[in-house]
Amino acid sequence: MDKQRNSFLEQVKSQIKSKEARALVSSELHHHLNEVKAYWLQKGLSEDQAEEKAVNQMGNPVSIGQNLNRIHRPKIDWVTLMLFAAALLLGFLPLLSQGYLNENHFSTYKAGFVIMGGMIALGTMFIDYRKFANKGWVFYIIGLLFLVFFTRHFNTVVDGQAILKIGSLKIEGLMAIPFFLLAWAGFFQSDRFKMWKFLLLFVLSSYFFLQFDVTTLFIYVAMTFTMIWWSKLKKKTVLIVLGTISALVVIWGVIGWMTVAYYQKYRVLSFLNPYNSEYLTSQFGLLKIHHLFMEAGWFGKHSFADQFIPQAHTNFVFLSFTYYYGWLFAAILLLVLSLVAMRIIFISRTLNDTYSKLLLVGVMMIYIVQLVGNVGMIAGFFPMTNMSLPFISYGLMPTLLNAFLIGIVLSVYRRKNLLPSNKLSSN
Amino acid sequence: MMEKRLKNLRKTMDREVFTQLKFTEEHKNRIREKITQETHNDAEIMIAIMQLLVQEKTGYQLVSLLQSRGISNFKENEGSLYIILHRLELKGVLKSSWQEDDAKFYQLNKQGRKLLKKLEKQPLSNHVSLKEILEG
Repeated sequence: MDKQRNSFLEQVKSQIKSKEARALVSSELHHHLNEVKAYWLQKGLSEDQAEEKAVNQMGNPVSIGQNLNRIHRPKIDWVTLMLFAAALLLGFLPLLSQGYLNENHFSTYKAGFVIMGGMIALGTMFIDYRKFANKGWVFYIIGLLFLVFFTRHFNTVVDGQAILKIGSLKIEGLMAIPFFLLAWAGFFQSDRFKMWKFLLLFVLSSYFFLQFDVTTLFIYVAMTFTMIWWSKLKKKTVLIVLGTISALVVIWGVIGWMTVAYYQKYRVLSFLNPYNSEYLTSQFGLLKIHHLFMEAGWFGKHSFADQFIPQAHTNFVFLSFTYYYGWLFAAILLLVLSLVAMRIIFISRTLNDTYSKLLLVGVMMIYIVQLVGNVGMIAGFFPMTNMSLPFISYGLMPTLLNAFLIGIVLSVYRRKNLLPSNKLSSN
Repeated sequence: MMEKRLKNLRKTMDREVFTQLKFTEEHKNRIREKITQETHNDAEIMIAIMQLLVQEKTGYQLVSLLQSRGISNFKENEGSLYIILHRLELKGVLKSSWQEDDAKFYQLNKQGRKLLKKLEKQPLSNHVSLKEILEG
């Protein structure tokens, strides 16, 4: 009895590549066939005749399937992928310039990081992120456990940054960020999520982030505060709450001033008053940075001569890059990195569904804070902290984090033209 | 040699395939219908669909209402309506919701109502946003 219907639906489905779309199209057409059949049964046709009529009224299954496939096929965002590859390749230049290429393990490690980053990005692209929409709690708990474990077991502190060193592997608090990205996106897409829950969960997680490093906390806060704007909470309440939190933080900052370590105080002071010579006598300060930056010229020095730039392949990579390769290359580098951010914004504007939008807003913020923060350290409008330049700074954790972010962008883009999965998540 | 083979093929085709192929009364009727059918152009159909979707409807309900409006483009071709619906949904002018019995309901969202207003005001030909939707 169902033979005709099944063969029709199979023919439609055989044209559609995306598994999710196939299932949803099939159940939609199934429903349509049922309705038409019910109509003809009511008109007095027999079961078989009604079924046949219903299927015949549908039209050509192959052409329907082909057209639906054209709409719903998964797509690869080549623009993001190319920018990602370009940024990763540009990331090798700082190593070339510092002669690390043949001297030691840096370049081998960097190559390893890049390959792992590429694999993470591509791997994430194939994961259907929509399955995580109602798993906010799971990610929150994993993230929190990670932070708790981390604050108890970190064994090294570099420049105020707690690090868990296992062999040559350095695990940073930054690794918790992706979990909280998925957690907040999951929470905020829900209609039932309440403001008090946000406050509770946010304060708790911020407390643990604060345990090891202010930069990561900053990224976390910027991400969460931006994402909440796209949540289903009332805009007015959001404004009041965020305003109150900011005011409290300022008060707390004034009190906390007495407790921070000297070098942190030094960094903040030299940030507020960069050219004050009192703070520049021995340390690497903004005056020196700007001097080096201006000296570079359009085409760079192509040698470091006797100039010493500390953290030249991590925090100050943009400075060492500019000094060696010149303003022109620095501008190209900035252009590529900014295009990544613009691409993310562009994609997020084409999305209709809250969860994908929240994810991309979060991704964009994590990325932009790093980019603006790192360049801002050199320009002088951001305090000198541990902020890495995405894809360019040396380091496994930042590379993996940013590769994961790109992976999410690719995954969202890949599925943005698939059928909305509200059916899947409601079941 | 080749010619002989082709001739053989033709003979077999006549014998095996074409004898089974019948030009039935139903086929004739269908052709007659197609000839007499007044065809609506894409823009008219699109506007009709959007007008009907101011209220929430399934594809099935939409087909019957379109037919009662005299639009018979989806006759014997009801599946193709879903191509248009899916395109409109991805363009962000329709919202959809699944309800019981696997029924998927479509309705214009805010953007869709805006577009409909614009389409109703403007002359039908050369509408850019409409072309975009139709060509996917």
